[in-house]
Amino acid sequence: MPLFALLAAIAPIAQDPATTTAPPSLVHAPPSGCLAYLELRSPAESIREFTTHPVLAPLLGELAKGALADSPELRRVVEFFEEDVDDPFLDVLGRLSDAGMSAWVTLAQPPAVTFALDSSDAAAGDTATRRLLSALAEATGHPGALDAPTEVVEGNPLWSIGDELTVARVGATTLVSNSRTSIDLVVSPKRLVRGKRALAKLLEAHSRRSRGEDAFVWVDYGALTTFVGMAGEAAGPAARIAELAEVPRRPRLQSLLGPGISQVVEASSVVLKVDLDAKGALSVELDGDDLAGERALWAHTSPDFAATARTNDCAHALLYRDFGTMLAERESLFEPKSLAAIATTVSQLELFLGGLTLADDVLPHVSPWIEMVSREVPFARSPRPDLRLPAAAFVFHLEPGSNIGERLDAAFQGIVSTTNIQRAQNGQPSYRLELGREGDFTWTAAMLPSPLEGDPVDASYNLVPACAVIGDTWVVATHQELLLDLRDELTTPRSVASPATGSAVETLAIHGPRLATFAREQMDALVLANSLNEGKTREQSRKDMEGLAWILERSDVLLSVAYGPDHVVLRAEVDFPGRN
Amino acid sequence: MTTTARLDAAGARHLLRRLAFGAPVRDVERCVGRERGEVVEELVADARAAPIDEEVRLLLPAGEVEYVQAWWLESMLGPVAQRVRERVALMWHGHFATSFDKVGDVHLVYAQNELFRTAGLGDFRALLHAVVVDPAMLVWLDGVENEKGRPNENLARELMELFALGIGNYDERDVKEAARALSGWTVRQRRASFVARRFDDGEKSVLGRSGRLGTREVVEAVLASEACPRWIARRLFRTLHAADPSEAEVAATARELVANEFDVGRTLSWLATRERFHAETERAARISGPVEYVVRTLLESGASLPATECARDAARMGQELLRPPSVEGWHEGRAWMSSTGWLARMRFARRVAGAVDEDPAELAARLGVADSRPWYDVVVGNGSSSDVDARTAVLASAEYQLQ
Repeated sequence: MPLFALLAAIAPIAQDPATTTAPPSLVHAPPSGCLAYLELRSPAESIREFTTHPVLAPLLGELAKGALADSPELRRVVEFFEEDVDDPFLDVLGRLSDAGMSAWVTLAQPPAVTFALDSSDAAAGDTATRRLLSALAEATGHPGALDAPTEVVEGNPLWSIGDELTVARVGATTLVSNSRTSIDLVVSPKRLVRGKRALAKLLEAHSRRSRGEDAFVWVDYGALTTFVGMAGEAAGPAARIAELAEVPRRPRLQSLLGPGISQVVEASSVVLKVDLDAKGALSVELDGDDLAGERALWAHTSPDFAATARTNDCAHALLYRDFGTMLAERESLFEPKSLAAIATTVSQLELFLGGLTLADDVLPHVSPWIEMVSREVPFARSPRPDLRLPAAAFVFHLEPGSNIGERLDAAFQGIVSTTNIQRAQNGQPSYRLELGREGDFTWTAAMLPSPLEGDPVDASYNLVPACAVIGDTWVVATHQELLLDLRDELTTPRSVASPATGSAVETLAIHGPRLATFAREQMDALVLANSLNEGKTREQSRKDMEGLAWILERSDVLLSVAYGPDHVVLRAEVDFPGRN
Repeated sequence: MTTTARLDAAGARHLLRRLAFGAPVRDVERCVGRERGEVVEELVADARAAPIDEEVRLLLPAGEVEYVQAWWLESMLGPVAQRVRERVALMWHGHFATSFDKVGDVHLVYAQNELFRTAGLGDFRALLHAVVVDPAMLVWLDGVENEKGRPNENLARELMELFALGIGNYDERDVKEAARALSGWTVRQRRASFVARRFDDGEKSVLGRSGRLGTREVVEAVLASEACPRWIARRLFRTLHAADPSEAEVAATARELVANEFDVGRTLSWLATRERFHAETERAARISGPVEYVVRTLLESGASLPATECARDAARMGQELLRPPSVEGWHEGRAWMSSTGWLARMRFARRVAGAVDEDPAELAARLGVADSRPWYDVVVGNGSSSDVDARTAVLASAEYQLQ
C-alpha cells in the first residue's frame, strides 16, 4: 500500500472499537488476583498463519532460533515434541486448544503462570493430554508413571509432576501451571476478595476492547507498578517498569515521544492486541485505559490543516507537541530536577529570538501540530557523504499573518553563528551561512566547506541545515535540498481542515523500501556497527542486517496514536506490499 | 639471565597474560612443553606478520570515537599473535597519550592508533620520528600552533619529558630550542604538512647539537642521548613486570635495546624470556589495568559481550581508550584501585558471570583462582551461592585482578 493510502486509512483508528463489533467473551476466565492475561482464539491456526507468512515467517524463524539458543528449557520442550511425541506439535496443540488458549499470571514468588487450553471436544482433549503425559513419563525414564492422575480433586484428575508442574483436566479444559495453588483456584474456586477488582477490570476491558483478534493481552499495569514499587528493586525488569512510570515527568521524553505514548504508562490497565488479517497485513494495538488525572498535554482536536504525505517520502509524521502548555505548566508537569534545564534551554532560545519570549511572543503563534518529512536528497549542492542518511524537515504551522517566521529565521542564523564559535574553538571548520533568493522566496542555509579532493566526506555532510518561511509555515530542514523541495509543495494551496473535537490522531508513516535502499548502500558499515553494538559475529550481524533490509523492502508501516476521552490507542499497522 | 626452560601451564598462562592480554585454554595448550624462548620469539614474529585489519574505516565517517574504541577492544580479543600486537599498541597509546577530546577528529585518532599497530614492535627510532609529525599528536600538543616567531613548546617539552628522555636529562634551553626546530608543521587534509614559511630556520642548539636544526635533527639528537634507551627500557620493563625495575635492570634492558638497534619486539622478547620474568614472585603480582582486565576476563571466561559495552566498562573502571586523562597517560598499579573503579570491576564481573554457564568451581580452578582462602570456601566451595554469584566472586576476586 503506498504511503498516502496508508495515511488515508487512519480514520477508523480513531473510532472507539466498542462501537463497531460485538465483543466476544473471554476464552477462559482466570481466577481473582490475575495481574496479566493472554488469550489466543485459535493458537495452532495463528501459529500456522504467522509461520507461513511470506515476510514474517523468516523473521519469526530467526527469533525462534535465538530463543532456542538462549533457553535450555525451551530446547528441551522442542526436543520432547520432536523425539518423544508421535504427532507434530501443531496437531497436538490444535486438538488441545481448538476452542482457544489463555494464560494468566498471578502474584507469587516466583510469579505463578497458568495455561488453560480449551478443546471443543472434551474427549479428544482428554486423550491428547493423557498421551502427552504418557510420552513425558516415557521420556524421563518413568514409563507409565503418569498414566493415572496423582490425585482427583472434586472429580477432576490432577497430575503433580515434581514441584515444578501441575496438570489438571477440568471439563474440556487442560490446565498447566508452575503453581499448584493457581490450579486449585480453578479446580475448586474460592470466593477471594483480593484481586476481585482486577478481574472486573479485565472483564470490562475485554468486553470493550476485544474484537476476536489473534492475540489479546491485558496487564493490570496499576497493580504491577504498585507491586514493583513495593519490591523496590534497583535493577532488572522491576526497575525498568519503575523507570517507565517516570516517563511523563521527563520533559525530554515527553517532547520526543509525545503525550500519548508517554502517558500510556499512567494507564491503570493496558491491552495489547495482535492480528494478522486475511490479506496478510499485521496490526498491533496497545490500548491504555482508565487514564487518571489531568491530561494537559493531550491533543483534543485535530489540526486545522490537511497533512499531506508525498509518494517519495521515506517517512512522514504528524505530531502534536504542546510546548506552550509544557512551558506554562512545567512546575506541575515535570520532575523538579528538570526545571533548571528547561529554564536554561528557554533562556538560550530567547537570546536568539532578539527580545521575544517563547511563552508570550512565539508559541501562541505556532500550532502544536507539527509535520515531519523525511526524504532522500540528491546532495546537488554539497558533497555526498560516505555514510548517507535521509534528510528530514520539520514544518511548523504559523498563525496566518504572523511575522514570527522571520524572527525564527533570525534565531536560526544566530544559532549557526554561535555554533561556529564553538567549532572554531575545537579547531573544526565553520558553517558558511548562505542567504538564498529565487524570486520572492528567500531562505537561509548553513554549509561546511567542501572537503578537499580525496578526503573522506564525513556523515556531518548529511547536515546542511536550512530554514525558510513558506506560506503560513516555517520550515527547518537538515538539508537545503529538502527545504527547496518542500517550497514547491507547501506553496501549492493545501486544503484547510475543520478541527474536529475528540478525534485527534498522531501518525508516523514509514515507507520501508526507501529506507531499505539506504541500508543496502551502507550494509558493510551497518554490519560492523551492529556487530560491535550487539556482540554478535560479523556473519550473524550481516544475516540480521540483510534480514532487516529484506523486511524493509517489503513493508510499509503506519504508527498512530489516537486519543480518546480517558484512553489512548497506539497502533502499528504493517502492510507488506512487496511480499512476493 | 635468559633461560631455555620449558613452559608448564602456569608459566604459559603467566606469559600469555602479560604479553597477549590473556590465556585462553587453546593458547595455553599450544605453549605447554615448549621452550620459553621459542614460544616468545614465535609470538613476536607472528605479531609482526599478523595482517592489519582496517575494517573500522567503514565507520570513521560517522565521526563517533566510540566505534573505534569498541573495534580496538574487539581486536584485542583476536588470535594470540594479533593480541601481542594490540598489547604493544596499548603500551604506546599510554606512552604517547593522545586524547580524542582535544584532537576531535576520529580519522586522526585512528591513524595514530594504526601507527602504533604497524610500527609498535619495530624500531623505536622510526616510531618516534613518525609520532612527532603524527597529525593527531600535532593537534594534541599544539604542534600546529608552533611557528616562526611564536614558538609553542608543548610538543618539544613532552618529547623530552615523557616520550624519550625523562626529567633531568635536558634543560629548559633544550626545550625552547627544540620547539623552534619543531616549528612549521600544520595538518592539511588530515595529513601532516610542512610549511617552510612557518619554520624557524635559525641557528639552534639542542642537547649538544647545533645548526639550523629541524624536526629530524631534533629527534635524532633526542635519540642519541644516553637517557633515551634507559627511558624506553623503563617503559618496556614496566609493561611486562609487576614492580619497577632496579637501576641495574634498567641499564641491562637499555643495553639490550641498543644492541637490538632499538627493536622493540626483540627487546620485549629478551625481557619475556629472562628468569626474572618467569620467577614465582612475579606471577599474579601485577594489578591489571581496566582494559587488560576486561579483555583477559572475556578471553579466559569465553563470554561474548558487545564490544561497545565492554569499552564503556573499561572507561568506568578508569581507562577509556583513545581518551587518556592527560599527556602523562594513565597512572598504573595501585592507582587503578579507586572505589568507583572497583565497583565497575564488580559490575563487569557480574555481567560476564551471567554470560557463561561454566561450573564456578571449575572456572575458579581453570583460572588459577581456586585455593584455600576463606572467601573461596564461603562463596564457591560450599555451594550455597547461585552459580552467577559464585562466578562473579571468582572473576571479581582480588586474586583474579592480579596478573
